[in-house]
Amino acid sequence: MKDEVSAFITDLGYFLPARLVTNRDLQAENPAWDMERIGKKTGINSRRIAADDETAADMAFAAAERLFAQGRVHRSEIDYLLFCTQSPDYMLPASACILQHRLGLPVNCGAIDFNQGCSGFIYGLQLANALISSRSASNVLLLTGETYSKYIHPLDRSVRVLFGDAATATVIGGNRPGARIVTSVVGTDGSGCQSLIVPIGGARRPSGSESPQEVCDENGSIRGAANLFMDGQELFAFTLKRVPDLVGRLLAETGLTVGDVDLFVFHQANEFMNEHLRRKMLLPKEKVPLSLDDVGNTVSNTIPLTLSRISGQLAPGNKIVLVGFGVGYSWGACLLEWGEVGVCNEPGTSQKQ
Amino acid sequence: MTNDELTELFAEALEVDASSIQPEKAIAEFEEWNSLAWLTIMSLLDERYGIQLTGPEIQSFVTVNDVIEKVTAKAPAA
Repeated sequence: MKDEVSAFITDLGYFLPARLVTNRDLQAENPAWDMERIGKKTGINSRRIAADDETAADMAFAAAERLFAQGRVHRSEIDYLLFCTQSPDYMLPASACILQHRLGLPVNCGAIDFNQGCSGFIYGLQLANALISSRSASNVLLLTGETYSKYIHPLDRSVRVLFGDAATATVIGGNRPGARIVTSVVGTDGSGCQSLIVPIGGARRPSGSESPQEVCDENGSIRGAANLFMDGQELFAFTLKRVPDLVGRLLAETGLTVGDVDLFVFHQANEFMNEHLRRKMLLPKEKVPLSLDDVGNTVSNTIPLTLSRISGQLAPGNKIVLVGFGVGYSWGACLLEWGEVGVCNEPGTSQKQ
Repeated sequence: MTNDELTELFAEALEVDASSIQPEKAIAEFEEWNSLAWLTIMSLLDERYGIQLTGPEIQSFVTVNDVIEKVTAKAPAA
């Protein structure tokens, strides 16, 4: 029988685009928006937005290059690339294929995109863990990259104030020093597909097939069917229903109690919702970091970004629960046992290539 | 849970005086009763009574009384 292979996060880093949009900017643009109140509720005071010609793949490329520049892992060692995005460069081919070439990864490297949002990093870790423990891959490069800003109507307050753009890069390897992926649990409920959606642009409603009619909703927000739509109330109801159960499932699976866990890194939706969830689950504030103030909700990037930022406070052996939930609906949670991880913690600025 | 307690909860979420929350008043008449206020109401109902409202339920409410009736119906029998 073969020896068992465990999967470890060995390297982790993130990238933020250069353009800064502050609440003050949004207030100046939209005098009717109460940005002071919104800032207090969301915990978001500014967000980074990709340049017009900068895509999620461009930012993921930059995040990966910065990891390689640390010199801990060499690009020739990567034999699987997973790219989580809902803003691919093209309908086809997969952005992961383009990134394989741009990053100079070996041609015997597998490369796929997967379309998930706020749960995406958990799915990526679960897939990487499966690839490594089944010996299908030795070193997986997991990239997340998102530019919801390109889908957002500038006059849609409900989403413009919340979302920011970002990318992250994570290397997962087998049986080497790092943060061990202990186990993960996931779930799906596609009945919630209309709650966070860009209706036009896929095969169901192709772009150009309908006149781009914009409508004003009862809150004064304007959007068309090619824009991002979010039903905040439905999403909040979904998280109240699913997230406490999800955390309970992971703890039951691992035999841990809340007290055994050193840190809970939740998807950073907004401070109001995250704090409500934290109180509901009776989790102590110091175990649940928030990282929204200067970046906003960056979708699949929030968990690795927050983990990067708080990594300085972590010690080997710490037990960390990661929790993602949102668009789909899709959700997942993962237990990590912290170890020596090469964290690249200075977010780069845009570099055109 | 009494109707007065619910009225207080709405007033707290809307940051208005409880006296302005009359049962027959239409939600649309409140300038403050926007999507953000709904999130606060959902949060307070969940926290204080363990009651959760769904998006379609919220869409169906016309008057303050509609909300009170739905919440009361969802409350566990005392």
